[in-house]
Amino acid sequence: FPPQFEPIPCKPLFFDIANNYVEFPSLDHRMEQKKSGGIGG
Amino acid sequence: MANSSADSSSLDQLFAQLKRFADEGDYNKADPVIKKILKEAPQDKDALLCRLCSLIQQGKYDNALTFIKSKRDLLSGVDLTFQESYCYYRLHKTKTALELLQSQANPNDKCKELLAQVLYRLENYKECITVYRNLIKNSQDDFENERETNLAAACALLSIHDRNLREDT
Repeated sequence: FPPQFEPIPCKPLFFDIANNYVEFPSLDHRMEQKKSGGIGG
Repeated sequence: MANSSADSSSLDQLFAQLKRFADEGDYNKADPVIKKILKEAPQDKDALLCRLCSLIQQGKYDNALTFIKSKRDLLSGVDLTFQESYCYYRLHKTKTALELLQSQANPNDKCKELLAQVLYRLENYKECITVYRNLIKNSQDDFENERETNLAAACALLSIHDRNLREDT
């Protein structure tokens, strides 16, 4: 003791790509409704 | 105070506001608007989905999972497998995420992307590499560099893993 130092490989870079797919639903159809004056009720 | 016609017009305004923040990707500003919408229309599917996304983007994965469970009936017909497994993945309940993703007959690309990350974290590099090769072949988007990087990481760790196995035996 102490143990000998030895080289170890570094942790490779790894991206969380799935995070980019956590997105709001398309809200376009809510806008069209507004343009057409909405549905009377 | 507000009558029903005022409700629908203010709802339209709120959605217009929300869309602006959504397009800008500003989740902090979007969140109060979503809450206002849900106060007026607690069962609005779009608003519920926005709320779920906002919870995940704020890192509130436990809350997001509770939200999914409590709103499952209101969101019937909407496939939430991706959102749910992503929460488990971020909570390091990686095996639960894997089971959920593998329970699907025809996973979409989002789920395949997450599956690759789940396999990587579970140190199943061979399958991870297979999923990435397939994704790279079949996708054209802004994340090609990131995908190549992740594939390289899996390949590197697989070779280290194999070398260690050889040295151990």
